[in-house]
Amino acid sequence: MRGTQAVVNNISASLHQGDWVAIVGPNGAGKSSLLSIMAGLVKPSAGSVQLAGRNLSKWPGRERAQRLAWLAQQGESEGDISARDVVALGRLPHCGLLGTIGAADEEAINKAMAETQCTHFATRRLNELSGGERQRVLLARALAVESDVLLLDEPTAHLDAPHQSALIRSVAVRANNGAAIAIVLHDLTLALTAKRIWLMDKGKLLMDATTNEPALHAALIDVFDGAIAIEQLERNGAIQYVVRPVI
Amino acid sequence: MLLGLAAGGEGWSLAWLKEAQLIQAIRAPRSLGAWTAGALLGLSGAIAQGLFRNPLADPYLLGSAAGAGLGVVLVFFSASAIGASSIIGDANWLVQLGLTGAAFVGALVGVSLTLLLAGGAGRPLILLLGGVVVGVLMAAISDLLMLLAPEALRGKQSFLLGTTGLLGWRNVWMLALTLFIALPLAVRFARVLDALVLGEASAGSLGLNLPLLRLVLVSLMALCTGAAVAQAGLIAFVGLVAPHLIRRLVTVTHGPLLVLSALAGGVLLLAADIAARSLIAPQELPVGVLTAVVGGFYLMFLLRKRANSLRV
Repeated sequence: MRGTQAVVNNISASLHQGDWVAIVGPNGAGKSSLLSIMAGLVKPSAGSVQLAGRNLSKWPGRERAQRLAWLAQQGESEGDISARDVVALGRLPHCGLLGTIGAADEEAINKAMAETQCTHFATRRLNELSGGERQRVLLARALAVESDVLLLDEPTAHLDAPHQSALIRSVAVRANNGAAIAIVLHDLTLALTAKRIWLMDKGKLLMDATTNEPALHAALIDVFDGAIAIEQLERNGAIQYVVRPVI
Repeated sequence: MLLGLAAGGEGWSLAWLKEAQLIQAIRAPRSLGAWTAGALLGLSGAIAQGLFRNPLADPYLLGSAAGAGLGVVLVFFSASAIGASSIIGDANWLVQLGLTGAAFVGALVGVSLTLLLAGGAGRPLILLLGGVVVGVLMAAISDLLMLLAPEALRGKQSFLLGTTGLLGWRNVWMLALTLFIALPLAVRFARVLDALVLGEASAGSLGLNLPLLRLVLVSLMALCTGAAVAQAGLIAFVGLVAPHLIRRLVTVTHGPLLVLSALAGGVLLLAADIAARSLIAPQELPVGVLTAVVGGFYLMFLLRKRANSLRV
């Protein structure tokens, strides 16, 4: 796909079923812009985005929304409706503007709320929630769509460590069940738990690699001006990478 | 409602049978009219607050009421220009329809100008500022028209102050018909307002055709404002206060919020009307003056409470 000239440029990449990709890069690299283009919210000035082999702009809005869910960076959402009603909006593409919520919708809502652990404040108003609680509600809204493609922009912002881990676990499960997931992440340790990394800088996709490639680690350190170090840990026989700042 | 039937210019009375004729001809349409006009304003305010994602939005503050007012004044002006006598209080159906239509178009133009001036609805306080500017401009044009046709002044004045005193059965039917059309339609589209809680981009990502839906909702808001203004004049702040009261009491989605705001708007305006009839009886306060004073203080309270948290 190709992005707008100013923000992202000359990018060609694909996201498949079962993929879980972390999009990383320094501030202003164009990560969020790329995600907006992938979600069909911003039209690229050149090039195209394909969803299931069909140009994204050719998809009817509601069908596209059933197949593809996008979570914005927090900040824009504001209102006095309850947390559960916010999550229920995720079912809007399925039941339609004038339809009613059925048993399958209720189940998807309950499941998404349980996954992000926000069931216990389901009746509280969005505006009364803390930053982390609000983020979990908005995340549950995106999960409740139960879409094939899940695009999340900074979903771990405001989340404490246990909820960050829970999010990563639930993303991994959904990818294993066949969803295609791309997440913009600032936290590189979390990003390195993904299956693949798209490393971006200055509006370009520098590298698309699996997380265990040494060349990717070298490129990450280079893009972040040597301000990070990547260490390898072994835990229960599995390899995990920890990124720490170099001060 | 019973209080509305009992409250007369000469004080309160409960002698129903003796006053049956008076009640039937004057107090009943007036009370019902006040209720339906208030309901339309409450509904209009609830739509505006959800649509513009702005807790301070109100048809009066968005330039739509002023636009509706100008529409009505233009009709007065045209009527006096062709030599027709003052048409305020005229019970003719066609006149009522014409006034409502003109007010609807005026309300649409008013709110569109405000949106244009504010560069969209993204910045709540700028939007209100735009609404105030459009309101002043529309009022100035109305004044100019009145200078050119002084004989229309009488109608304009009682209208600008907002009055329920001239409401007859025809006006009530007109208001009720508008409410009957607008409320179910607005409730049908209420989920758009729920989705807008997430922000414009997220609502768009849910597959909603936002430009079209926004146009539908703005039109409904303008229809409610236009009908209320055409029949009862400029009555401020009922549209602002009614949804606020409901949101303070209950946590609901926009569907129930719209219905409850309409109910609350009706109760508020009827209560204000009863107070306007009784406070300085046998004289009468224009109800618009009363709601402006009470609502103005409420807006000051809201602004003080919210000024720090609102994006300018």
